[in-house]
Amino acid sequence: MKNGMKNGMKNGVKNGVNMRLGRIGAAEGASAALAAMAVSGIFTFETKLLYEHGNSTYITLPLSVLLSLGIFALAAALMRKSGSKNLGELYKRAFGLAAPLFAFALSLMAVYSAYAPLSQFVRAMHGLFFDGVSYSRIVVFTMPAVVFLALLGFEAIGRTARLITPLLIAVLAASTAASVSEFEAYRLYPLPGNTAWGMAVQVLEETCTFLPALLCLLINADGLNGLKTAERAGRRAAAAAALICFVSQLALALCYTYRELGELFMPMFRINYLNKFEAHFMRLDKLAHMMWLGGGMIAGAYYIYSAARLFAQSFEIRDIRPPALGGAALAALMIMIEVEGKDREAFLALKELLNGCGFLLLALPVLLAGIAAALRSKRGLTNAKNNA
Amino acid sequence: MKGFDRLLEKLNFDAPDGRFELFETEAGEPYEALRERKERSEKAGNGSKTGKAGMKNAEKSGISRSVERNERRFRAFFNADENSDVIFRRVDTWAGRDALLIYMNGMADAKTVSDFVIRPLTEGNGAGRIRGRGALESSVQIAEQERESRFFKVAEAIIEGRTALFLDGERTALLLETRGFDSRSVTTAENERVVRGPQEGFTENLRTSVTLVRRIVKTADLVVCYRSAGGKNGTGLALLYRKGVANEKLIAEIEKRLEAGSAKGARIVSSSGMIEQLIEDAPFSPLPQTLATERPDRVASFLMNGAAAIIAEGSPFALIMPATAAALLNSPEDVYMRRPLGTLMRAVRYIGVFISLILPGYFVAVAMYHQGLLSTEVLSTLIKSREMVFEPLPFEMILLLFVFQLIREAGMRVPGSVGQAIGVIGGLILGQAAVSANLASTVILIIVALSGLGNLCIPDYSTQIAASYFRLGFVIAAWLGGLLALTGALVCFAAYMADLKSFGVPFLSPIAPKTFSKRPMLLRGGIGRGGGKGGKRSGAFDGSEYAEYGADDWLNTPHKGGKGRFGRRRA
Amino acid sequence: MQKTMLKPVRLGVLRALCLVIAALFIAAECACLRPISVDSCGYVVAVGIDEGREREYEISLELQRESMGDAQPENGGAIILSCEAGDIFDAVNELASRIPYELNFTRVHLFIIGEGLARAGKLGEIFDFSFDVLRIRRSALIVTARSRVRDYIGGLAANNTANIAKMQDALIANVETTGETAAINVSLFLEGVRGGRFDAVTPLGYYDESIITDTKQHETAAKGENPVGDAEAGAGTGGMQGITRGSALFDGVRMCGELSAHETQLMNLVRGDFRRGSLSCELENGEEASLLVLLNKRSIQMELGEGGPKARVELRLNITVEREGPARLGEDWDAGAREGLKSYFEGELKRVFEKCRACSCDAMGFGRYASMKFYSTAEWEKYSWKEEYQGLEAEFAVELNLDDEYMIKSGG
Repeated sequence: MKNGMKNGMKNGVKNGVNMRLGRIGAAEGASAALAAMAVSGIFTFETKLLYEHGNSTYITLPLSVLLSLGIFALAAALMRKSGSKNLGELYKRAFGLAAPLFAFALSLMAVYSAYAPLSQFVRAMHGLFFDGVSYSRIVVFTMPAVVFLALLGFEAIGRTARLITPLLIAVLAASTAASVSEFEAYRLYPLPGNTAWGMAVQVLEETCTFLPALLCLLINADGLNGLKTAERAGRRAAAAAALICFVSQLALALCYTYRELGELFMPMFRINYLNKFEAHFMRLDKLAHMMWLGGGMIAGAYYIYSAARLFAQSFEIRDIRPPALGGAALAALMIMIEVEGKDREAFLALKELLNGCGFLLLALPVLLAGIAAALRSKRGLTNAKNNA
Repeated sequence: MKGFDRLLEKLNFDAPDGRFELFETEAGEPYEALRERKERSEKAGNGSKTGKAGMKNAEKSGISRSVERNERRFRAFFNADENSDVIFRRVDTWAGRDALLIYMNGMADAKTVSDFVIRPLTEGNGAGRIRGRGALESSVQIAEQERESRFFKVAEAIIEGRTALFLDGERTALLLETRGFDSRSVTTAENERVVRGPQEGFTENLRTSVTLVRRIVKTADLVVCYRSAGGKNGTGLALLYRKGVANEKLIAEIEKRLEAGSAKGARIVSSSGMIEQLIEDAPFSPLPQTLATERPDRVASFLMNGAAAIIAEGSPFALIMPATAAALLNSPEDVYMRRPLGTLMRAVRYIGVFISLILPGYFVAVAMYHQGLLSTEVLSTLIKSREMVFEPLPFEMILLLFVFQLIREAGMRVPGSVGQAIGVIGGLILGQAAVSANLASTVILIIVALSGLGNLCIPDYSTQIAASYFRLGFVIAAWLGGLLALTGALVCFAAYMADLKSFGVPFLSPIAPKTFSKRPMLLRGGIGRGGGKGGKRSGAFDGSEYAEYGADDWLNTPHKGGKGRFGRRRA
Repeated sequence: MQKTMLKPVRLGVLRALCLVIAALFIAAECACLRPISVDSCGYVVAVGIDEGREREYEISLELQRESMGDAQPENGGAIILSCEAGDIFDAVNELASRIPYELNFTRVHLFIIGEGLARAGKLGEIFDFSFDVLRIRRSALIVTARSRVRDYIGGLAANNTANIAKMQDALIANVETTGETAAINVSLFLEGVRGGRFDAVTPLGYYDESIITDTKQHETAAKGENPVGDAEAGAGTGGMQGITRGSALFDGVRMCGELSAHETQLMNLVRGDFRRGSLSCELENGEEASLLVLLNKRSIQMELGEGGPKARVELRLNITVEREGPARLGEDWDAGAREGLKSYFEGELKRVFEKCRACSCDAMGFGRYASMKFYSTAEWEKYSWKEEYQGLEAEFAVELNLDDEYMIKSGG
C-alpha cells in the first residue's frame, strides 16, 4: 500500500487522486458555507447556557460571525502571502513534519462541527417527531444522506447547497414572518440582558460555531477557483449568516423571554407556538423543521468532506472516500455517545470544554501557521536573493 | 496488508473520477485560466474564417475568375471537409470550359440539378450548340436565373437551396432556382404537440430530417457530419452543430464517444435511443442526459446556441446534447406564447412536476407518521374513506401508482382512439370500481391522479419515466421513515442531480451552478436583445429556448465575446 | 490518443456485496420508524381534566369523529370519552382500551381544566408531566370550566361544532369582537408562570343545560313538536350548551379569582386585546346604555420609584351610544355625558384592576412594562415583581370621543 501511495505521489498527486473536489464558483461556495453557518448559528446551541444571563444573542451572534470573518480574512491574507493554495498546504509550509498533527486537530474540529447540528436534529427528531423510536434508528435514517453527499464531493455539495440554501432561508423567513403578530418588545428586556464582559465572552465562545464553516472554504480553496473566490464566498456567506442570525435571534427574543428560551430545546422550532390563531399553515412548522434538517445534512456533509480533504491531503491518502466515511462514522458515534452512551457525562464535559475554548483551538493554529509560512517564504526569498 | 490493498482495489478506491467536464467560467477563475482563454480567443478570432467574422471578410471579396479558387474558398467557407451536405460538382462542359456547381444537398432538388443543369451542361441542349459568350448559361434549362458577383450573396443563395454555377473565366456566378425537397412525408410531431408554433416533425429519412433543420438554420456555419451509427447494420447518422459556435471540445467529445460506441460493436443500431445509450455520461442514471425531440424547430433553437444534435437514419427523433434539467422541463410552447403566458405555463408545469414528485411521498409520510400536520377536515374524511380498505396506506399508494402507470402504458401501446378510450375507462371506471371494491380510498385516488397529471406535464418522455421512478422511491422512503427519510431522500436526489453532468455541462445549470445567465429559470426571457449583461451573448439568439436553459455559458466558443469553455478530464 | 471515454461504472462483486451488507444492516437496524396508519388513530381534539368523585382526576377526551361529505354525524361529530383515574396516564390507558384505535394527541386544540383543580394549583403539575409526553401542542388553548368539565365538553360537542379547530378560532375571534372572554394558549400561560411579567387569565366555561340545542330541535321537530315555542323550553335555543364567557384569574398556576364578562371587557381594553365592539355601561341616572367602543390609543407608563411602582394607563376611546336620537345625544354629550362616561370608565377600570391586585394576579400585564425599566437580568431577578405588584398604584385616564361627533351634532 505504501508503495502504491509513493508511486501515486511520484506520478504527481493530480494523476492518481480521487478527491472529488471539482470546481465551483463563489455562489456555490458561499451557499455551502452559509448553510453550515446558518444551521450552526440557529440550531446548535445549548439554550440553557446561551440564554443563562439574558437575551443578547441577536447582538452577540452576528458579532461572532464578524469576528470569524476577520480571522478568516487574516488567514486568507497570510495564505496569499505564503503562496498556499489551500489550508492544508499552508499547514505543510508552516509546520513541516508537524503539519499532519495540526491538520488532524482541525479535521477533528470540522467533524465536531458536523456532529453538533446533526446531534441537535437527531434529538429533535426523537423528541418531537418519532415517539418511542430509538436514537440509533434515527441516526441510521439521518446519516446516509450526509455520507452520500460527502462522498459525491465538494462540487456536488456546493451545487446542492446552491439549490437548497435559498429554500432554507425562505423557510426561515416564512416562519419568522408567521410569528410577527406575536412579537412583543417587552420580551427583549432587560436590555441588552447581559453585561458587557459576559457578552464579550459569548462573542468569543460562539466564534467556534461559525469559524469552521469559513475555514472549510480555505481547506477547499483550490476547488473554488482559487483563494480570491474562496475569500469572496466567505465574505458573502458571513454577511448573509450575520443577517440571518440577527433576524432569527431577534425574532426569537421578541417571542420568548430569556427565561423561557433557556428552557426550550431548539426554540426556532417553537417560534410559531405562540400563535393563538392556529390555522392549518401554523401546523406546518414540522415541515419547516424538515427543511432545516435538509440544511443540517448539507452542513454535515460540507464539514465532513472538508475534514476528510484536509486529513487526506495531510496524510497523503489519495482517495477521499475512506476518510469521509471515517469522519461520518465518528460524527455518528459522537451523536450516539451523547444521546445514549455510558460515558455521556464525560462527553458532555468535553463538549462544554470545546465550546468554551474551541475558538482558541481553531483560530490559533491557523494564525500561527499563516505567520510561520509567511516568514518562511520571506526567508526563502531572502536566501534566494543572497544566493543570487 | 496485501489483502487490504486488494480490498481497496476492489472497492475502486484510488481510481480517478475520469468524467469529462466542460469548465464553467466564473468570475473567480484563476488568472492562468483567464490568460489561456484570452489566447485561445485571439487565436480563434484570427484563424477561423467561418462564422460571422469569416462571413464578413468573405463578403468584402467578390467571385474569382478561377473555378479552382472559387472552389477552394467555398470549401473553406462551408467547412466542406466536415460538412458533407454541401455538394461541389466539377463539370466538363460540352463547350470545353471548366464549370463548378455548388448546391446544398437536401435543400436543392437533386433531380432538377441533375436533369436540367448538369445534363445540358455536359451534353448541350437539343436546340443546337450555339457557340460564344453566354452559350453555356443558355443551355441550362432553369427558367429563373440570376447573376451575382458578391461572395456572400452566392453563399446565402446556396444555403437557401439554389445552385451556384461558376464558369472558368467568369467573375460572376449564375444562381439557379433549384430549391425544393420532398415534403409529403413530413408529418406532425405527435409526442411534442404545441398549440402555436410549427407542427412538423422529423421523419425516418435522415436527409429529410436534416433538411428540415436546414430550412430553419440558414447559416453557413451549420455543419452536418454524416457517419455510421456504429451498428453492424450500417445505419447512418448525422451530427449537426454550428462551427465556431459550438464548443470544439464538446464536438470532439461527442465524436470520440460515437467512435467508441462503434467500437463496442453493437449488432444493430436502429434508433436514436440506442445511440443515446452508446454515448451518454452515466448509463445507469434514470435521468436522461440528452434531449430527444421530434421537432426540427427545437433542434434549430438549440443548435443556434451552440448545442450539438444527432439525427439517426430510421429514427424520427433527434438527440440534443448537452441536456440540462431546465431543457428537459421546458416546452417549445413557452417561447411561442407571449411572455407572460409563457411564464405562467412554465410556472404551472414546474408546480405540476413538484407535486408529481413530492405529493405521494409527503402524503404517505404525513398519514403514517405526522398526522398532526393534516387538518381535522382532511383527517376525518381520510379516515372515513379508508374505513374498509384492507391494505396499508403506503401499499395502497404504490398499488394505485402502479395502476396509473399500467393504464398509461396500455393507452400508449394501442392505436389512437382505443388508447384514449382506455385512458378514460381506466381513469373513471377502474378508479370508481377500486373504491367500491374497497381496494382504494378516494383521497389516495385523488393524490395519485394529481401526481399523474403533474407527471404528464413533463414534456420529455424519458424524464417522465425517471420522475415516476423517483416518485416511487420517495413513497418508499416516506413509508420507512416519514418526513425524516423523505428529507434524506430529497437531499440525495438534489445531490445526485447536482453531481450529474451531460457532456460536461452540469445538469442543474443555470441554478446550480449559477451561471452568467442573469435570467431566472422560471421566468421566460424576452425574444429580443439583452439577455446577458454587457453583450455577453449574441442578442439575436436570446429568445430561443436554449438560451434560457443555462448551458450556453459552457458552449459558446471564444470568439463570441471570449466566453469559451475548455474541456478537461477530471483527475 | 488521449484516453477520453468515460469508463462505465462496473459494480464489482465485492462492491455489490458491501452495498448489500450495508443495506441489510440498515434494514435490520431501522426497518421503519414505527409508523401508525392515519386510520388507526383516534384524534383527540379536546382534553379535559376535572376533580374525580372517587379518584383524584376525571379525564374527558373529545375525539374527532370521521366524516365524509354530507354524511355528518348527528350527535355533534365527536366522541366523548371520560373516566376517573389517579393520573392522566392511567386515564389515557383506560380510555385507550375502550376504543379500537390508538389515541393521538397531536391535534389537541383545547385543554380544559375544572375550577377545583385550577384553584388547587394543579395546572403546573399537569403541564410539567403530561404535556410533552402526550405530544400535546403548546398552541392549544386553555379554558377553565366552572361546571363539570365532562358536561362542558359535551356542551361543546353539540351540533355544529364537529370541528373543534374552528371552535378554537371562533373563541379567539370572540376576544377581539366581544371582549367578553380571554384567550390564552399553553405557551403564553407558561410564559406568564415562568417569566413573572404577567399572570395568566383563561376563559371561563359553563355548561347551560337549559339551552335547547339544534339536535334537540331536529328531534322534536321530527315528532311534530315545537320546542322553540314551548314555554318550558329554557333560557334559549340553538347552538351549544357549552358557553365560554368571562375569565379566570391566575396567580402563577393557581386560580385565584374570576372576572365577569363585563370586567373581562375592561381588562381586555387595557391589554389592548379588545379593540372594537359593544360594551354596556351604567349611566349616572342609573340607566343602562350600550356603547360601541373603538380603542383608538393605548399607552402605559410605568415608574419604579422609591415608594413603589406607579402606572398610568391612558386610553382614548371612540364611542357610539346606542341609546337615543343623534340630536339629543349631541346636546347631552357636551352637557355632561362625556364627563359622566369618562369617570364611569376610569372608575370601572380601577375597580377591575384592584380586583385583580387583590388576588395577586397581574392580569393587565403591568409587569411587562416594569421589566422594560431594567438593563440587566441580575437587577430584574432581584426586583421580584410579584411582591412589588401588591403595592402598585395604577392611574387610569380615559379620553372619550364621540364617533362621528360632527355629524351627530349637526343632526345626523
